[in-house]
Amino acid sequence: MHFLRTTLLFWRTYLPRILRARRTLIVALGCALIPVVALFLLGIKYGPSPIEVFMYPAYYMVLMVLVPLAAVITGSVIVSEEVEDRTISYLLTRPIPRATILLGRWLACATVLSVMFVGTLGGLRAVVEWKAPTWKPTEPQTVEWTDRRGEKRTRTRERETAPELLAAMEDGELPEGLFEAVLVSALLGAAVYSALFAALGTSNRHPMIVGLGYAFAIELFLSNLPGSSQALSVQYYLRSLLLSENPELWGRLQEVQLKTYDTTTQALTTLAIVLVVSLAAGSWVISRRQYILSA
Amino acid sequence: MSALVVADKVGAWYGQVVGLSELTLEIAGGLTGLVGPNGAGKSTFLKLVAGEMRPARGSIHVLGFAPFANRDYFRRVGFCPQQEAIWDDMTGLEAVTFLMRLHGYVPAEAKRRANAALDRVGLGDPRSRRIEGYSKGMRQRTKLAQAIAHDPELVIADEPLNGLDPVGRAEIQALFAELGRSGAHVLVSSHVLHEVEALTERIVLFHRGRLLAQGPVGEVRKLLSRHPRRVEIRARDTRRLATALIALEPVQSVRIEPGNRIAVETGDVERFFGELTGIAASGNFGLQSLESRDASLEAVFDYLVG
Repeated sequence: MHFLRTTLLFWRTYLPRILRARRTLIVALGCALIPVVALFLLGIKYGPSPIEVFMYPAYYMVLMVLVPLAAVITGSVIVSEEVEDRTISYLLTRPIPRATILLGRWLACATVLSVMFVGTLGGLRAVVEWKAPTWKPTEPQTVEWTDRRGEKRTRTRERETAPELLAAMEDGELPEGLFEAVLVSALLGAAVYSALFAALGTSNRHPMIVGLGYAFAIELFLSNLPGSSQALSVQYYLRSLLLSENPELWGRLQEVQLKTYDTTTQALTTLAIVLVVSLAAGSWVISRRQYILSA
Repeated sequence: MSALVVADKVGAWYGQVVGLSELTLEIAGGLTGLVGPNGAGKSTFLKLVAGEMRPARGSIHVLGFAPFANRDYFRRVGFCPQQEAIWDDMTGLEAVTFLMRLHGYVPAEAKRRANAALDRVGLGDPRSRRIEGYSKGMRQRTKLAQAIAHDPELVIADEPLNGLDPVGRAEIQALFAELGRSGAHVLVSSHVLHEVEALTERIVLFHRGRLLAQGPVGEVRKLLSRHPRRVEIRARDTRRLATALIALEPVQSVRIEPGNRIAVETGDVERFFGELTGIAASGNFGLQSLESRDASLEAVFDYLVG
């Protein structure tokens, strides 16, 4: 059977199955939470401005947490669940290129993740742009009180937002290119991480544990190291996609301390290479490996 | 006619555990039963035949192909694995149709074949229900359906009668007989000899990863009963006892060993034990213990005659 046709058959068959899976529901709930959090933040007195409400969750919750987490949860099981459920016997004794099992199922996984991240980021944008026209920074408020020694004390409650950030959304809409850069970064991140963990699942017996360790220990450590070591993490390239498009805005967020970053082209190229190499390595393993099922 | 399966010094391991050891055999076409106690190596052998495993040592050829990851070979065989697992979130019909699609059939033909195979194995209405609600027998039927739906030249079924009720067993046995008559080769394994006996006269007997015997069931039984077995006896008066034992008809040889022990070799262990009881009762030999040195073989023998 033709390679592409079999890959698409796996994609089509796995798509409804992945949608029915409990782990997909968990990821969907995580995604749905982001716009809700944004809505909550916009209602807080002295809370962040609308553009910050878009940028912080997009960066910290989506790119740093949700993308790798969703990819581990859904990607690592692509092959390993067939081994664990002992159903892989039916697939490995069919006249098909074995690599199509990995590729078709990864495509289905990437499709579902893409829909989810388009939904969550679209929802986040919609909430921010809906609330932005009516949002006003809360005026600083000075509170006076007398301490135990009878001395009068004052404290001013206010939240400082960089003027550049406030100005960027004066018209009530996100600045040009900001949403698109975050979306591309999230979609590519989901594709690359899920391919990485799917490949891991072809050879590792506990890909989810190893994947979580990689995403939230090794990557986190590497991506926060000063110097060129950051370039060894996928996160570095995902951040580069953001910073190369809107450096002045992301630079205003104190927490985004990335002094060096790649250009969009360099980041896209590197992510594409990681994606292809992961899928090629996974395909190579599944094509040659003998899966011994436990009794 | 060339053999269906040719295995040459095949070895297979599960880590440190031996699955098959130096297995050399040929199996002719037709319907053959693989028998042996649990853990004998039947499933390992069938996984090698099905192309799910590759031999760690030696070589195996089936229908002239080296089976492992061989797409040309997979077009010709149907494999019903031992494990109950099959995709719980699919219906029986969906699962079999999907697997037929992997054989290259267009959707309509794949569905037609799946329905026909499910009819043949006797899975009626439940085929439209999700597999998670299936009984063990329904799963077994679904697994068999996916193994025969593409009309393979060779059907490999690992313990296919497990989990089936007596009526179900009879139906599936009739199906195998029908497959055999239609010209397909069938390899069926079971740890229950009479199940296989009801299907075919030709058996291959495995034990501890080795080939123990092969041929018609009756001959295999005879062969095993003639196989000499060693019995070790501890007694106070070994010389007198040895003299008495050598006179027994089933005894082939007697050797006195240090430590008041006698090693006896017999060709008919059941008869020997029967006659030994008489000797022990008639003479004062101070019999202390009795131990069969070929305990494993004994177990197989019991299994076979039981």
